[in-house]
Amino acid sequence: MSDGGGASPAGASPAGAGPATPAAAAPAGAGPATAAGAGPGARRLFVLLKVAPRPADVYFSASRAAVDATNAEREIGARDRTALEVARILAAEAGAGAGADAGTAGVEVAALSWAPEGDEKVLRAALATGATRLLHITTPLDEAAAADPLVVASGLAAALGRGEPWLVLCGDESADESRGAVGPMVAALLGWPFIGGVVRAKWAGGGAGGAGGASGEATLEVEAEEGPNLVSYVVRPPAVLAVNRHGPAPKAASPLQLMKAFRQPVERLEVEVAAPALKVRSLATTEVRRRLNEPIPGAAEDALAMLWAKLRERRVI
Amino acid sequence: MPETRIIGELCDGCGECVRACPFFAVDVVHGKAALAESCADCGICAPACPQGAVAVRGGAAGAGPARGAAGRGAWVWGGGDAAGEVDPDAAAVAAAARAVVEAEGEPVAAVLPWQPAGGAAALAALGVDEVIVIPGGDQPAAVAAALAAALAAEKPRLVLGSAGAAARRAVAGAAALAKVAFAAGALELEVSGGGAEFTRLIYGGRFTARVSAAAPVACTLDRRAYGRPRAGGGAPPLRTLEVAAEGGAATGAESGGSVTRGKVGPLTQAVPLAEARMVLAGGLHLAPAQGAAEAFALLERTARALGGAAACDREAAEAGLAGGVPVVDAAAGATIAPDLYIALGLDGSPTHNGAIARAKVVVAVTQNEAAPILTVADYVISAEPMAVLQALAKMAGVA
Repeated sequence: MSDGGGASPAGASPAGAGPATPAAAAPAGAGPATAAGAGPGARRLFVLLKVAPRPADVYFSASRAAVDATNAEREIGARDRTALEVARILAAEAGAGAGADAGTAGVEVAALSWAPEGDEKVLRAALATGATRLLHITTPLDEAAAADPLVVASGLAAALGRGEPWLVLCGDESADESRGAVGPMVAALLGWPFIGGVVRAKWAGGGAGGAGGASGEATLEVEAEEGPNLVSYVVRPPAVLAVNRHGPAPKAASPLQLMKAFRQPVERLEVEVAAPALKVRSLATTEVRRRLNEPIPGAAEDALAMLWAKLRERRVI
Repeated sequence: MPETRIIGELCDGCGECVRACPFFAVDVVHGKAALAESCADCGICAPACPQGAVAVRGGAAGAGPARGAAGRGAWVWGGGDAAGEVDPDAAAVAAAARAVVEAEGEPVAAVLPWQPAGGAAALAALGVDEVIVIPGGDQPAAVAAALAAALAAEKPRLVLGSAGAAARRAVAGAAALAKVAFAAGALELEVSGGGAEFTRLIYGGRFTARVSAAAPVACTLDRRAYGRPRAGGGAPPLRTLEVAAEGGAATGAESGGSVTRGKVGPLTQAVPLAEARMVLAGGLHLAPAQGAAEAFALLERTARALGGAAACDREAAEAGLAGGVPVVDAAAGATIAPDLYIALGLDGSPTHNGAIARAKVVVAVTQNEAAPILTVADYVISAEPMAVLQALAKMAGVA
C-alpha cells in the first residue's frame, strides 16, 4: 500500500512514522512519533477510531454459523466520526486551524486505530475530516483477540502511552460489537478519568483563551447524557471522553480533502497482543420469539386501559 | 510452563478440552491433547475431559493477576453516578446474580465505593447477602482501581454491573486493571465449572454471540437480563474493605486528570431510539396524509412524555409523512430491542418485523386484518390508530 508522498511532520521519530518506514521497522514496544505533527508543548487530542463492516451489509451465514461480512463496505464507526468532530471543533476553538488544512499550532488532532493494513485507505478519511495525524496499529489481530475488549484496550493504551496524549476521545459504542468497553478500559489502564455519553465539549472560558495557551492550565466543560439526565462536568485533562450519537454531526470530506489525505503520511506502529480472555463459542441470528397474538377488545380508551393492565401484570411497564 | 498436564495414557484425543478452553491453549496433536505455553492453568478443561486425562496441579498460576483464580460468589456493582448514590438498577442486577449462583449455594454481595446516602433502607433494598464498601473516592480512575484491587484480593466468581454508565465505567475499568474477562450487555448468563457463559447481542441486535470465559468474569448486564428484586428483608451486614491499588497509574493519582460533576438536568431531547425501553412507532395508516405531520409530532411528544422514543417504518419515512422520526428497519441496520413496542397504523414489512424481533412485547394497533405486523404481535388492538394515540397522549398528560 502506498502512503503517498510528503515528508513526515516535524519532530517525527524514525520508527513507524512516515511513508518510507515499513511497519516491520517499528518493533513492539518501540515508540512511534511522540512529537510528530506539532511543536513542543502541543496538546494532543487523540481520537480512537474503529473500522468495522457497515451493519446493513452484514449477513448471517447459516451454513458456516458465522457472520458474513465478505461483501460489506468497511467504514469508520459513526460515533467515532462524531468523536473526531468533537476533537476538530476543540482544535478549531483553540485557534489551531483544525480541519483538513490544520497547521501545527498548540492543539493537534491525532487519529489512532488498530485495524488491518487493508483498512488504511478507510482510515485516511480521518485526515480529511479533522485529524492532522494518523497513527495506524498494524499488528495483526485474529478474530478471537479482536472480539475481546481487554486485548484491544491494552494495545491502544500501550500506543497512547507512547504518544503523549493530552485528551483521548472515542465513540461510546462500535457498530459491530456495541460494547462500549474500550473507552473505560483505556482510561483505567492509563489511570485517567473517564466520562461516557458525551454530547458536547468546549474549552472552559471559551475559545483560544480557554485553551490556556500551550503551557497553561486548561480545562474543558463537558456535557454528557447519563440515563434520563444531562450532566455538566468540568474536566481537567488528561482524560478519556466517549462521545455518543448526539454529539456534533460528523464533517463530510470534500474530494479535494480526500485527495490531500491520500498524500499525507501515515505513522504505523506495532503493539503487543495480549491473550484473549473471552471465547466466542457460537453465533446465531436473533431468534424470533413466539408471540401471544392476543386481541384486546374495545374502543381506543377501553382497549388502552386493558392493555396497560396486562402490561403492568407482566411487569413490562 | 503450565502447571496443567495431559495424561497421555488416558487421552483419547476427543477434543472436549479444546472446545472447553477459553484461552485457545489446547490442541489435538497426533491424536492426543497438547497444551500451549499460553495455558492459564484455569482448570476448565479438567472437568470437561470425559477420560479424566487432565491433571491440574497446585493453585492456578493464571495469565494475569486475577484470571484463573476465581473464588466463590457474585459481586454486584452498586455505585451510582454521584457520591453516595446507589445504582437504581443494582437490586435488579443482584436478583439476576442470585438466579445464577444460588444453585451453587454461593452468596451475592453488593460492592459500593461509598456508604450509601440512604442508610440501612438503601442497603436492604439491594437484596444481597452482604455489602462491601471499598473506599476509592469519587474519581472514576480511583474507583476502578479500588474495585480491581478488591477483585484481586477476594476473587469472586462474577462481577456484575447494570447497563448504566457508572457501572460500565467501574466494572470495565476494573476488569482492565485486574486483567479479567469483560463483556458488556450480557444475557442468559450461566456459570459452570470454573467459568461462565453468556449471550450478547452484536451488530445492533441482529445476531447473538455465545461467549465463554474462565472465572472471574466481569460483565454488565443487558436490561432484559435483570431479575425481579427481592422484596422485604433487613439490611445485610456491611463491611469496609481497605485495599491498596497498585501503582500510580492504577490509582489515577499521578495523572493529574480530574472530573468534577456539576449541574444535572433533564435531557432536552428524547431518549435515543436504540436505548429506549418503550417505543411508539407510526406507519402509513397512523393518520391521513394531510394530518400526518401533526400525528407524528403528537407521537413524538407522547413517546417523550412516557420516557420512550418515537419511530416509524420505512414506508412512512419514504412517503415523507414522518418528518425527522427515525426509521426502524433491519435492512438499514436499524434494529431495536425495547421492552415495549407499540406499532400504530403500521403494516409491518418483513424487514420492519425483523428489526423488532428482540422486543419484549409488541403491540399492534391496526384495522388492517391482513397486516403482517399481526404475526409478530403479542397484543392486537383493532381500533383507529389515531384514536389510540390520542388516548395514549391523554394518559401521558400531553396536551
